[in-house]
This record gives sequence, C-alpha cells and structure tokens, in this order.
Amino acid sequence: MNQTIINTTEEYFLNMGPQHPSTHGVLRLMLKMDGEVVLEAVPDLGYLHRGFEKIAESRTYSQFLPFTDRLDYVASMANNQAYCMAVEKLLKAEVPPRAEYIRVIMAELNRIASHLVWFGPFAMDLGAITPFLYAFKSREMILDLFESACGQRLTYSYMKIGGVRWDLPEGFIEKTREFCRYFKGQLDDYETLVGGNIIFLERTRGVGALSKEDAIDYGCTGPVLRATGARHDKRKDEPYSVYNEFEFDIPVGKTGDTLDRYRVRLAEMSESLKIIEQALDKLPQGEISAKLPKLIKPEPGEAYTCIETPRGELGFYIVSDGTAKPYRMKIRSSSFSNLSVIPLLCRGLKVSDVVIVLGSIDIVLGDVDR
Amino acid sequence: MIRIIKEIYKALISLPAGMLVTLKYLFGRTVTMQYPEERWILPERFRGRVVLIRDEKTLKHRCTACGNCLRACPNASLRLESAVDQNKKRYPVKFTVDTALCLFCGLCVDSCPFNALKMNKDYELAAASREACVRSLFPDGENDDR
Ligand code: SF4
Ligand code: SF4
Repeated sequence: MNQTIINTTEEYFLNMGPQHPSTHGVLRLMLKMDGEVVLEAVPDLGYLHRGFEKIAESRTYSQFLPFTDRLDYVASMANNQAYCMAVEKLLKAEVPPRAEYIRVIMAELNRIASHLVWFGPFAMDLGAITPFLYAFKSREMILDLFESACGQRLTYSYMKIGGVRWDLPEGFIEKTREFCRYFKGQLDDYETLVGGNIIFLERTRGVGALSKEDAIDYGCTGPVLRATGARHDKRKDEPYSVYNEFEFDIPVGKTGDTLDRYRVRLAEMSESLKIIEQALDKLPQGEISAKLPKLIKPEPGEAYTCIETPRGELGFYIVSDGTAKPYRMKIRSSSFSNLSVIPLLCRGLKVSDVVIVLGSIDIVLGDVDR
Repeated sequence: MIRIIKEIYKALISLPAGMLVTLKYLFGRTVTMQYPEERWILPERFRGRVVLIRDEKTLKHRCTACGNCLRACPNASLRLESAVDQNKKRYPVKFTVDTALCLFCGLCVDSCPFNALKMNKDYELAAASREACVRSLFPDGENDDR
C-alpha cells in the first residue's frame, strides 16, 4: 500500500503568462508538466486581438495605413510596405525608383532595429542583462534616424500608397552611413559578449531543434525556417521592390536549434548593412510618390503581396469591390505561423528551456493576434 | 578527457573576453539622459499633438471649418463645431482632438486644403481622465474669439 503511494506521480498544469516577462507580450502558455518536464504546451492567443481585418472594411485605403503600424509594432516599416504594395498592385500603380530605394533603406534599418529588440531580451531570458543595454543603445540610433525622417519612433506611417510621404531629411544619408560604420563594430562586441560565451552556447546548442520538413509543414518562415537550412527568402526568391539590384547573402543554419536561430539573425543584420550601404550609394534622384487620386478607388478585383519582414513572410490579401473601402482584407502574419511550432518544440523540455525556445522564435503578439 | 580540458579552457577565456567589452564601455561616454531635467531636441518633423497654425502676421488661424480633416481621420478623433460670421464665412467655434483616440498619423494635416493644421512638439500627453484627453486645437487652448 505504502509502496504505491510513493511511486505515484501526478501530471499537473502550469500556467505561464499572459503576464509573464518571458512571453514577450501577452501570450499565455498552458504547460502540462510531469515534474519539471513539459509534456505538452498549448499557446492561448487573442489577448491583443483588435480585429484589424474587420476594421479595414470600414476604413478607406489610405486610412488603414496607420493601423498597419500596429500589427508588428517592432517592424512597422515592413508592415507599411507590404500593405502599400498590395494596394499598388490593385491599382497597378508604378512607384518611382527613389521611393523604392527609400523604402528598402527604411525596411532594412527596421530589420536591424527589430533584430536588436529580439537580441537584447533574448540574452536577458538567458540571464544576461548587459547585451540588452547595448542592443537598445544601437536601436535608439536607428529610431533617431526614423524620427528625423517621419517624426515618430515606433508607429512610423512613413510610406504611403504610391511612394513615401516625405523625402529623406537633410543629413540622413551621412548619419546612416555613420551608423553603418558604428554598427559593424557593435556586431563584433555582441559576438564576444554573447555568441562566444560558453554559458550561452551550452544553454542554446541543440535546444528546441526543428527539422526542415517540420518547419515547412508548420508554415514557418523567416529566420526560424532559414535556421533549419532552407534557403528561402522572399527578397531573393521573388524579388519585390528593388531587391534584385543589391548583392547580399541569405544566411542559413544547419540544425535548426536555438543557437542556429541566433546565428542566422546576427548574420542577417550584417547582410542588411550591406544592402543599406549599396542603396545609399545608388539612391536615384526624382519623385518620391506616384500621382494618384486623393480618394483611392481600385477596380474590382483582388491582390496578394507578400514581403520578407524581420520575422518572415507577411502577406496582405485584399479584395476590392470598386468602392473606396476594401471589401475584405486578410493578413497573413509570420509570427502566427511561427508560433504554431511551439507545441512541437516544447515537448520534453524543461521550463527554463521553454523560455529560451519561445524567445528564439521571436514573436510579436500584435502580429499574432492582429 | 582532453575535450573537457579544452572546454574548460574555452570557458575561462570567453568570460573575461565578455567582461573586457563591458570594461571598454565603462569608460565611454554616457548615453542615458536625465529626463525631465534634460530634454531631447526633437526633429523638425516630430508628430505630436494636432493644433491649428496661427498665422504670424494676422495672428489668426486659416481654418474654414470645411471638415476635410474630419473625413480623413481614420479614428474619428477630431470634433468640430462651426458658425458663420458677418461675412458669411464659416469658422470653427470649438475644435478638439481626443488624444486618447488619435493615432498621431498626420493624415488630417495632409488633407487640409488650407494648410491650417500642424503637429506640434507636445509629447507629454498623459492625463488623469478621459475628459482631460480631449484637447483644443486652438494654439492657446482657448475657443475662437471672433
Ligand atoms: S483644419 Fe483644414 S481641413 Fe480641417 S476643417 Fe479647418 S480648413 Fe478644413
Ligand atoms: S493625427 Fe491621425 S488620428 Fe490624429 S487627428 Fe489627425 S488624422 Fe486623426
């Protein structure tokens, strides 16, 4: 009798979030535990649902732009660009080359800023606070650049349908070049601080490994997919905007574990620097916006465009019925599909590893819930 | 065995290497700002609260209460009450923006045909109640005195 009591263990549920610093927003994870080992992890979403797809149906095409800032609020420029491209496709509008170049510069700067927001807190999840401060120091410099160009630090609304809203301000090009020079040194520092640190390596190597097949099955995109070894990047595979005019590599990993995801993102930052420098060199003169009517009324029809945001593929599908407001809008967000592998990755891990696997996926809840 | 020694050696090297980076920054320039004693110099294009532009010469605003900005606003944050003066010209009597609803997008500024709006550099917009979030668009905060 006594023997059976001692040998019986019970599974239990552990509630992680929605108010938990390591869930990076308002995500709730329900963990079914056996002692310290996770048997099952179920993400519970919707705490940040604002119904943007429905809101779009009651706004005109230009009016919806500020809402796209609030989808993936860490990379608003990319959201702006994806949305504008979808409407431009509906309108069959040509964007002037200068506007395209400015868009690329902004999107790539935003990619670095977004990866820095990931890098700092990710190191913090592992118990290192110092890298966070350095990452945010560099990010502030990018935000200063954005603020000088569009007046905001987070919700830019810098692009508009047909181009960009303002031309680059005075001194922007020099300051961006200066930042590029400065940031190269920073990347080395990050590598010494975090990437070479033995504790970091031991904590991340082999943890949360994802196979290429699983990543594709679950619809993962972005660095999560590329870390598994799949060389898939919209900027290279289906070049949009003017990406076919730049030389850059697509960094990929091998094993798809947390360490690979880290390395892919860090390598992506230096690739983005390359793109920015080339774009600044080639930046053409001319118009910054196409001539479009004030009230935009596309022909009835539908359009889908997708771009490579810092988190992966972001797509906008818009159906127009010929009025000034979209009939239906569907947003395919990368964070949502990347999050769907969490149950698979977390099986058999310890709770402290769940935190770093979740961190390495890099979700933004505004993008997941929409 | 050799592997373990190698690992330990690497660990012993990697930790001081990281600390050296920190040490380097210890003697660098301070980047934090002592807000509110120190203030950030805002760029020209900063998008703060929406206000009417007061003309330097006439000391009057240019708004004709046409309502274009209200139609352009994506979140219905603007409220306008207008009247007609002796010359049969419309003018705004009460013009407010609800900063709790405003997206700070600047679409209203872009839409004004008379170039009567701008976004100022006011960013400390926290308020204790919802009513206090509703701010007048007139530069001095008062109603139009026509
Ligand atoms: S601010 Fe401009 S757009 Fe708005 S009502 Fe006045 S004149 Fe019209
Ligand atoms: S800034 Fe945007 S949300 Fe605010 S009042 Fe102007 S149009 Fe409306």
